[in-house]
Amino acid sequence: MHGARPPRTTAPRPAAGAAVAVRRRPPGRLLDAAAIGLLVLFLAAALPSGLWHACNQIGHAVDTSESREDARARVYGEDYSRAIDRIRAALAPGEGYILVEGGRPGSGGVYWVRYDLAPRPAANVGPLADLTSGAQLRRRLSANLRHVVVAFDTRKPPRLYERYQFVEEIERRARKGPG
Amino acid sequence: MTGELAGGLGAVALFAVPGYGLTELFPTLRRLRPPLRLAYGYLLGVAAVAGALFALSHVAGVPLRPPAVWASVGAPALAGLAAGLWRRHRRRAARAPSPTSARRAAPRGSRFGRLVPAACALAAATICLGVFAEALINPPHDWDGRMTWCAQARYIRAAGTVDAPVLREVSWDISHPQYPLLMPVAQVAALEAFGADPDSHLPRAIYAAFLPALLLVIHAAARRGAGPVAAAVATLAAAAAPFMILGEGGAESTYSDLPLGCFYGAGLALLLGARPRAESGLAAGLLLAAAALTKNEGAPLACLALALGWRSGRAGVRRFAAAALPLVLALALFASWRAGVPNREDEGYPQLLYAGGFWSGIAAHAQAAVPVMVDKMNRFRHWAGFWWMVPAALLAGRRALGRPIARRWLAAAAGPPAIALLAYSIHPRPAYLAAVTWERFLLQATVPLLVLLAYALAEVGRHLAGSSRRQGDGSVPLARST
Repeated sequence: MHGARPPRTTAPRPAAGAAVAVRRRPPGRLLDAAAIGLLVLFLAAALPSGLWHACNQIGHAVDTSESREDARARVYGEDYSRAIDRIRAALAPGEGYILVEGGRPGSGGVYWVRYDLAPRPAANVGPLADLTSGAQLRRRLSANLRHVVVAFDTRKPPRLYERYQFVEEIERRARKGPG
Repeated sequence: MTGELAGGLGAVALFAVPGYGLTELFPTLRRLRPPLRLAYGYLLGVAAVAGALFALSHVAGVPLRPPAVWASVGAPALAGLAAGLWRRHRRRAARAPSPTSARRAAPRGSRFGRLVPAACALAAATICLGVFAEALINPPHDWDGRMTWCAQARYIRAAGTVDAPVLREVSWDISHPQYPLLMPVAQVAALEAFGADPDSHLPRAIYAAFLPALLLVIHAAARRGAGPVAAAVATLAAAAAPFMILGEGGAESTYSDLPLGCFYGAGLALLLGARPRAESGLAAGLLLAAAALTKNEGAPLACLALALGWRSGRAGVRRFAAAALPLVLALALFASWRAGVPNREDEGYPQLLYAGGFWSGIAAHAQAAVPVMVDKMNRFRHWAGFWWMVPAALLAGRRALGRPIARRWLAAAAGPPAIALLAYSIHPRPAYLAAVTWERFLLQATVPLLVLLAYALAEVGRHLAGSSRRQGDGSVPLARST
C-alpha cells in the first residue's frame, strides 16, 4: 500500500511576470543557484571591462583634437594612409585599376585597398606570385586599364605602377625564378 | 571632434526624426514611453528612408542625391507632424483628457525593484555612449564592413544609383555583389544629406545607434512577460557581452548583423504583442521588410516572424495582411534588383540544396561545424561566459518557457541558428563557414533569446523568493515589482 501522496513541490504556473513564490526540490535549487552564480560571474567578468572600455572611448573622444587624416593614420598605419592618398591623387575617382594581391592570401590587404580606393572600380587579377607575363595579365582582364595597384598585408603600404612598369617587373621576377 | 559629433548626431537624427514621425501614425507605437518610441522610430526611420531610396533608385531611376534624400526624410516626418497636429486638434475639439494625463502612474515597487533597473539602465547607457564615442573617433576598421558594406556604399554613392556599374558588370571585383543594400543606402543617405567627405566617420554613427535601439526593444519585450528587474538584468547581459560590442558584427562594427537583429526582433515584438491590430501589423511589416533588405537571411527570418505572429480571427488576419504587404513588396524589389547583378563569388545555396547535398551532408558537416561553434561560444574573450550562463538560466527557469508566448519566442530564437545549420550542412567548407558566421547568427537571435532569458530569470527569482520566504526573508530578487 502506498502512503499519502507527497505534497506538490511546485505551485501552479503563475501569470506572466507575477511575483508568485515557488518552492523547489533540492536539484531544482541547485539549478537555480548555478544559474544565479553563472549570471553573477558573467556580469562580474564582463561588465567592468565593458564599462572601462566605454569610459576610455568617451574620454578619448572628449580629449581628442585629431583630424580625420590623423585618425586614419592611427588606425590603418601612417605609411599605408600616405600611400592611399598618393594613389587617390594619381587615379581619377571613376578610373578603374588592376588590383593584385601581393601579401599573404586571406590577409585582407586587397579588401582594405579596394575599400580605400573606392569608388574607383578594381579588376582583381589574383596573387602576385601567379603572374609571370604581360600576356597572362592581358588574358585575365576584360578592360584596358592603365594602372596597377599591388596590395600587401594589413598596414603595409600598397604600390602603384604604370601597367608597362608592372609587366616589366613581373617578367623580370619570372626570369630570375623563385627565391 | 565637434564636426564628427555634429555629423554623427545629424546622421542619427536623419533617420530618428522621420521614424519618430512615423510612430505618430501607429497608435501602438505612439503610446510607448519616449525612449522606446524613439528606438522604434529610429528603426522605422532607417527602414522607411533607406527602403524608399532603394526603391526610388531601382524602380524609378531617381538619383541618390540630396533632393531625393531630403524628400524621403521629409515625407514621413511631415506626415507624422500633420498626424500629431490633427490628433491634438481633434482631442481639443472633443475636450478629451490627454492620454498622458490619463495614463496611470506606474505602481512603485520595492527599493530593490527600482534600484536594479536604474543601475542596469545607467550601465547600459554608458556602454552605448562608449560605442557612439568610438564610432566618432575611428574610421571603419572591421573586416566585412570594409570588404563589403562600406565599399558598396562608396560605389553606389559615386554612381548615384543602387544599380551601380561596379555591381552589374562582371569584370569588376566586388565582394558579395548580390547582398541586399539597405544599410549601404542608409550610409549614402547620411553622406549625401550632409555633403560629407567619403572618409567621414558619419556612417559609423548610424550603426552605433542600433545598440540602444536593440537594448530598448529587448527591455520592453522582456518587461511585458518577466517584470522590470529580470528584463533589466537580461538587457544588461546583452550590453555587457563583449562580442556584442567588440566582435566582428557587434555594435562597434559596420556589419549588417546587429541591424538585422534589431529589425527582426522589433518586428517580432510588435507581432507577438498583446492585441492583434492592423496598424501594429503594418509597422511590423515595415521592420520585417527592412530585415529582408538588410541581409540575405533577413528574408527567411522575416517570413518566420510573420508566421509566428499569426493569430486566427478577423483581427489576426487583418494584422497578418498588413504585415505581409510591405514584406512582399520588399522581396519583389530585392528580387528585381538582384536579377540585374551577376553573382561572382557567393555560394549558390539553392543549387547546393537541389544537388542533394543536404541530407547526405548533414551529419558529416555537423561533425565539422559543431566543434567550431562550441569553441566560439566558449571563448571567454568573446563572451565572458555568456553561453555558460544562458543554458543554466533557461534550464533553471524552464517552467516559464512553457507559456504559449514563450514558445513563440523560442521558435524565433531558433530561427537564425537553424539557418546557420542549414547553410553549414550544404556548404563545402562547413568548419570555415561556421568560424566566420556562427557568432553573427547568434547576434541576429539576440532579441528573442534575451526575452527568453528574462522569462527564465524571472522564474528563478520566483523560486528564490519561495526559498527565502521559508527562511523568513521577505526579499524577492528577480521577479518582484512587476
